Amino acid sequence: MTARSSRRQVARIAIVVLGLVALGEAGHQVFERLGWQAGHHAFHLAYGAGAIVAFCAFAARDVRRHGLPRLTWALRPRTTPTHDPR
Amino acid sequence: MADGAYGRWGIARTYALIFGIAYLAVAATEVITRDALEPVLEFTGIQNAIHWAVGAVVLLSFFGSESTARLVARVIGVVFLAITIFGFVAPATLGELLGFDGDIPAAYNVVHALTAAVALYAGFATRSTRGQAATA
Repeated sequence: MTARSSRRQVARIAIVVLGLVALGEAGHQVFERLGWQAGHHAFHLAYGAGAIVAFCAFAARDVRRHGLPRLTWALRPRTTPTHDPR
Repeated sequence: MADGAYGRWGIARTYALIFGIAYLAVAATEVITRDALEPVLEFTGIQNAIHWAVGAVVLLSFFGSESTARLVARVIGVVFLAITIFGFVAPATLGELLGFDGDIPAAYNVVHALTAAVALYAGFATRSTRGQAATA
């Protein structure tokens, strides 16, 4: 990854974080003004729940494409040859 | 490079991106919202500092390799698992350590447990690399 592409990625992530905070806080204020308690409380867990849903969706797609993952202590994957060397 | 066998978006790097952003967003929102978090959650300085630190470390690991992200996810997973058990066994002590007035709110134990499960999955699960090694 080049320094330029890293900077671009950092900027993109910063925009996403700030956008989430602004959007979330705006939603929080709306719920509070409307007096909708359930929505107000649900908001508190929205980021965590959203992250878990997003990650589970990725994991499900990954399992569909590559099959069930193995659990391993190794940090780097052991590669399997794709062709018979004989 | 062995990391390439995981593809561009390995499980651990995806975890690092999603949860790094989520933790930083939670930490920033906590600072803005403060008292409005009650009664489900509560704002404490220590807890907020931990959220900033975890968010920063997890998100930084996204910019490293898949191996780095896996290692960080394992550490986060083990720490959060320990905190979850601690929270269920001694809620008052953990609450006091994290700056709460009494017990740690039950909602935090659930969040910690889910976070630990996801981090451990990201840290230990590896996809089959058959057929990908040649293209990596």
